[in-house]
Amino acid sequence: MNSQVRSSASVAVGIENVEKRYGDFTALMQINLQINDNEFFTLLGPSGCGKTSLLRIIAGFEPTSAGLLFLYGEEIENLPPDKRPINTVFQNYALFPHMSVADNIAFGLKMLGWSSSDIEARVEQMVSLVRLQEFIHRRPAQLSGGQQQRVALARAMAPKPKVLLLDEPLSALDLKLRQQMRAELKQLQRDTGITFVFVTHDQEEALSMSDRIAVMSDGRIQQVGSPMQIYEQPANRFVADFIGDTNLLDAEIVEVAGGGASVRLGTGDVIKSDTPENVQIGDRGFVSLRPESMRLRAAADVGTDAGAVALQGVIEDIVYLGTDRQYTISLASNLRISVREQNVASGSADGLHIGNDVCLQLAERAARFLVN
Amino acid sequence: MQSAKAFDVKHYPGFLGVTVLCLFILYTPLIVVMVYSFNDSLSITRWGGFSLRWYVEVFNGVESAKFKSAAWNSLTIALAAGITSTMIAVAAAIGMVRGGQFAGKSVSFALLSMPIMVPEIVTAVATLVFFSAIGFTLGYGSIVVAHIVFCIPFAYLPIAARLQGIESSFEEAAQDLYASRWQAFRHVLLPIMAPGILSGFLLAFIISLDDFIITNFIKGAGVETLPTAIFGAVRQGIKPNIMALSTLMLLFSIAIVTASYLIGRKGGGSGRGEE
Repeated sequence: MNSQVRSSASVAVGIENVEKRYGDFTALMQINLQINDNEFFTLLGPSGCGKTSLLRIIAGFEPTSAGLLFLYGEEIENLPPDKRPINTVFQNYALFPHMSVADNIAFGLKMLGWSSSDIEARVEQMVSLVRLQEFIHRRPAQLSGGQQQRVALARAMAPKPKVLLLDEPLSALDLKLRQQMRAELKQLQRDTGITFVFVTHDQEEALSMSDRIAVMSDGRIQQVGSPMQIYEQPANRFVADFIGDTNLLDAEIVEVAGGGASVRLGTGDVIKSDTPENVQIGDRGFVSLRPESMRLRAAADVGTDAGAVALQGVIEDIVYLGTDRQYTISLASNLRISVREQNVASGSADGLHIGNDVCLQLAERAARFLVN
Repeated sequence: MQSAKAFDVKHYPGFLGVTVLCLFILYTPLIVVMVYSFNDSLSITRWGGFSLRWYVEVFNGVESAKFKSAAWNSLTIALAAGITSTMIAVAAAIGMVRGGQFAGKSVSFALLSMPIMVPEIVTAVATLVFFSAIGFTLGYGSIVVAHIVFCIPFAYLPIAARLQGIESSFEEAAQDLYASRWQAFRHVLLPIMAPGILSGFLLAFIISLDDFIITNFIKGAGVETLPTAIFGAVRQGIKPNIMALSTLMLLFSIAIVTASYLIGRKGGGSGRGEE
């Protein structure tokens, strides 16, 4: 990285070669990230991938073992948490149980030495922002999970932090409330213009809220990109497998042409595929095929447009999922693939029964070749 | 039903008998003392009707001046020893519970709680020998110092237990919201710990108030606490006023211990900050 990037006003949090070791265990290796100003940025990964360690390093709760940390171009890795203009929404909220909602929200402002009239005005503003006006004198224990969550948000945002860190804040809520809070969080981020750094293991949460996502596993960043890039152009097998459902099939490049390539699958079929740059004929790897990117046709119906058919197989199992049906198709060479079809009123499932021969048609750019 | 009953300890054969026997052995002497403290007779074994005369005698009788000064000594010593040992115990608990892993942690814990295990008579002799060796004048001051020392583990245990139940994210949240370490302790950790601290203080207070063996060894001449004063009075024969005094002490102790228990329990749920 160069110093130009560090000092740029558009980079809210700059992370350069950050490492974290606990004894022999390396929790984070060589992390490089630039989180932009006014961005909803998500650290996504399975538990133990290092995302929470990274968040705690940004907050200042944990020292780095190596590397540099910048906040709007200023080095901060030696500052204690109370000297960083960064606030955190904790996973368990960590609301102070002995204080009222108002006192919780006012706490940071008092510590910053605001005047009492300013504090009062700001608290009022925050409780109306999170719609908790009637609860201002209650203790946290007298609030529901969703209300506690909003107090935690108001408390963290009251001191007008430059960056807001959110550590799996929705994980304790039930499904309906979680979905509602997603929209609220996104709205809050847009309205306030504060940079959000959001940690989650829930890929749906990440896809639906983020401007950009960093997918992490084993203490490394696997890919950084927009939700669409992460989903449609996964950088490697881990990302393809972790984000959404996919079919991963062994494949070998047999032809490279223009932006794409042809790959041969284990079944012997050759299909068109997207590839990363710089692949060559003979490269081996995987092809990722999303279940919803394929169309199923009963073999009997196809006939005329046989040219569009990529793969052939037999329906082995059908699972009804409400909006969708999920088909398990057995292909040649003992390979299985899962395909998802939307249920529509027109009876598209006609002729698709267990044991029937079917053809699979691939949508444009459905297949993505991955080296590892 | 049959098998469920068989495994329920309340249905073991002899359960009721053993329970009653244990309660009898434990509490009959106390009840006898309490009942006979209201006896309108000089005898301590024959009932002569109900009276409060021995309670009056405790406060107004010939020995009342001695008892009053002893009670005053006991209370002030217990307060001083309770407060000081609680402060030390809070510091120790924070070091032990929040200090992470450090070399000598188990040794520190052993050293902290050992005074509970050491026979009191050994501590008493050792303290006397040590105070004489360094030329510390025996009297009120030496009692306070000795009491502070043996009260520390009693104050430490409930405080450390309470602190263990408090997630460190509260202090992190405070520091995240621009509180210095001291402010995070003062405004967040201390109030959340308060029930544990109070319960530790009350335990230390009552242990100091009740102590006889160590106090008796190191009190020097002329200074009495309530337990040593009672012991001194009993040596000339048990009079019913001692029973009245003992009953008063018993009730006071029960009140303090109950308060300690209730405070500890009341605060129990709030450490998590959720329902």
